[in-house]
Amino acid sequence: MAVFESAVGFGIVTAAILAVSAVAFTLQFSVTNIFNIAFGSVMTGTGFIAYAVNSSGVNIWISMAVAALSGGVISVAMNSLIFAPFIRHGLSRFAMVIVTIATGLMCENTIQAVVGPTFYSYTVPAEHAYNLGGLLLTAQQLVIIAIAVVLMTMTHLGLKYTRVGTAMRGLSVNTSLARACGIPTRRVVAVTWFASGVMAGIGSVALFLDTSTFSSTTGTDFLIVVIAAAVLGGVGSAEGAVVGALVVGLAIEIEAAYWNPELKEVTAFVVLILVLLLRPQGIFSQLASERTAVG
Amino acid sequence: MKRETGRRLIGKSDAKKIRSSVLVASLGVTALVLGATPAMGAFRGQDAARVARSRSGSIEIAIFHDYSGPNAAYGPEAGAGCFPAERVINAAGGVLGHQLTCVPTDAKGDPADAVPAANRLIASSSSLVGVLGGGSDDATAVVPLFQQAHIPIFSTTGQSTFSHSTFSYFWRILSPDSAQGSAMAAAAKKLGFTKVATLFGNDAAAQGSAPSAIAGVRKLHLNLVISQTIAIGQLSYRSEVQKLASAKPQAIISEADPQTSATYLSELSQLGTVPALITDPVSQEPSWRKAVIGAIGKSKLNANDYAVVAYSSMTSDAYKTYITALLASAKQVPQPSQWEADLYSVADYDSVVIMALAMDLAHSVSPSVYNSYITKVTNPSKGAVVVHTYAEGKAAIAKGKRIQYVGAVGSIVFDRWHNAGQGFAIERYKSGNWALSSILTSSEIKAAA
Repeated sequence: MAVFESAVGFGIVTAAILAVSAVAFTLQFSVTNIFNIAFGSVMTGTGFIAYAVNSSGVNIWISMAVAALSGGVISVAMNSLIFAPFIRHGLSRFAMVIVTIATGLMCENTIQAVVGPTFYSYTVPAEHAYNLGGLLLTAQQLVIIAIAVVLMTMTHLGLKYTRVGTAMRGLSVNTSLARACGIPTRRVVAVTWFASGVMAGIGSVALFLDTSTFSSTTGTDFLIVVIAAAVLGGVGSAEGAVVGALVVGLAIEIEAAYWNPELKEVTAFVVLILVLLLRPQGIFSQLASERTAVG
Repeated sequence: MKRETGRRLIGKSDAKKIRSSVLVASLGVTALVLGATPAMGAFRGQDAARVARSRSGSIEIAIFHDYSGPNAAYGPEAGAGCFPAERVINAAGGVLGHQLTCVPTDAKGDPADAVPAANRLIASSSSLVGVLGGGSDDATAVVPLFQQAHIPIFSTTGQSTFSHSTFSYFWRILSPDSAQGSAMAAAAKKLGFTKVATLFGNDAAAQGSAPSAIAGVRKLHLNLVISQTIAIGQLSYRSEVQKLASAKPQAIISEADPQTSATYLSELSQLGTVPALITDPVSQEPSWRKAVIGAIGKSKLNANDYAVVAYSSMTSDAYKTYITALLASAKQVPQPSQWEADLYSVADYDSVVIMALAMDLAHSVSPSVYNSYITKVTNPSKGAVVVHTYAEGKAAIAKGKRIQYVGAVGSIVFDRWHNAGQGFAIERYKSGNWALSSILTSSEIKAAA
């Protein structure tokens, strides 16, 4: 198979893994306007919850579901116990970023205190690659791609055709107006945090399965790529996050296939900067920069 | 309608409330971050005790390695050398009447954090007499600081910069990375591989041995089918893996961190086969093995891994003393048996014993005094008694004899730049232990250098 086609195939796999986390990140940001750096530690935490379940002999996909639910609960708790009180005090968006960084550090160090400074892997059956039209993919990767596609479709349809989805979109455009129109802001925000947490849980297990091993810092280590995908697509746009993930995934793999693999991440960020120079708001989104955070 | 903005106007009382909240949160966060990591908790707890001990005349060796971040295993690894040494030294009555204490200090993993941490360490401890520290990531930044403070630092960095440096307080027991790279190439030749690939991470630690490994492969006229330098910590290496697999090497000479190695080898394994792996001592570290075993399985790793490490006789008296002390140090070293074959831990153990013997010989715990006695307890000299433990060395010095300490890593002979360096051997993991497969002769390594 041609190198280019192969790199494109691998790029799609990488994009599928990134897309779930990128959509989760951007969905939560678009509704709450909180640029949540602690998202990486939520991913790590849920990844370890899946590990605990998986270690007791439970199938990895059921473990992923448990991680998803825990991610939802953790995210809601994080917002109500930490972020919302600060927002109620009228903290600026910049100060909120600092709060999320501090929260992320707390979580990461707590996780490290519990699990120690070592690496973990899920128990999964040995994987062999299937040749799909010349592209070598494992069953696990195919399942992850399928999960990503289903989640993206559900997110798109949910945002477009459900009441809560409409409310989320309303909040993301104009919080005050949405509130004035009778949208139950707090409930919608809670649902958003829950949905974002669920996707963080799924995204973390998909990511940790792909990297084969993980530690107390893995979620945070990959946060920058997740944020890059979200920013590239347009922060606040779910569709944009998918496209952003695709661009990042393809850039990384094509660069590694043709040029110097040492510079694959550099290439991804060069693409990011070039796109933002042409479209500062990202590929899809209108900026939501003037809104305050919503807790 | 009035548009809400990020800069919402707030009243004075609100501002006060916010300031209080931020202050309370900041204090809470600081407390939690400092208290979260167990190693750091232990470190903090020792601070008060340290002051008390120094008053009663104890001396301190700082374990200046990472206790947080991605390389948080480095600190416990060095601790697995320091605490057993502390045990044997204090059991023999301490150094010139002083009890010796190992003090964990978080170097935090990068020079930007390591420099202030080193400055704090130097400024805050009056009883600091030596340091274990300066890994490949931060050695160039922190070694000059300890040099300026006249405190000996025993480093595990592999950087070639220190092979001919003039830092008189810098000491290195293990061979530099350049020698390691040549030994890995020599190992490929010795094992009979003719088609070889090289795979190195792009971090400072791995890049230390990459140039000499590649040069060695060429010098030995092996067929270098592909040479890859990969960005560490990536989500995937599928494109790189496919290129390497297409080149069909019989063996891969490799050094990369645990996460990178695991991801790469897992993807390589999915393509069907994993060639022989010729790795460096990092592959003997528990964290590396745990990560890679999780990725490709224990049997596949053990069947393919050939670790090229500094040669040390695991049957020597010095090594046996180390193991006994290590296993007895479970209180300070959790799961001590995991470090038994870890060369860095063994070298750190020898480092502390050497510093203690040098103090005995110098009749002084002053770092600027005993530093010049270090080679006098390690390098061979006429009439010197060979000793393998601290107790033996101390007794010989008390009788006025010259000594040569042959440690757990074997003979340690420092050159004028304070580099020791050992011979190399190929080791394989069999039946739960690392076993010597073959010794690389100096002519074999020289041919690759």
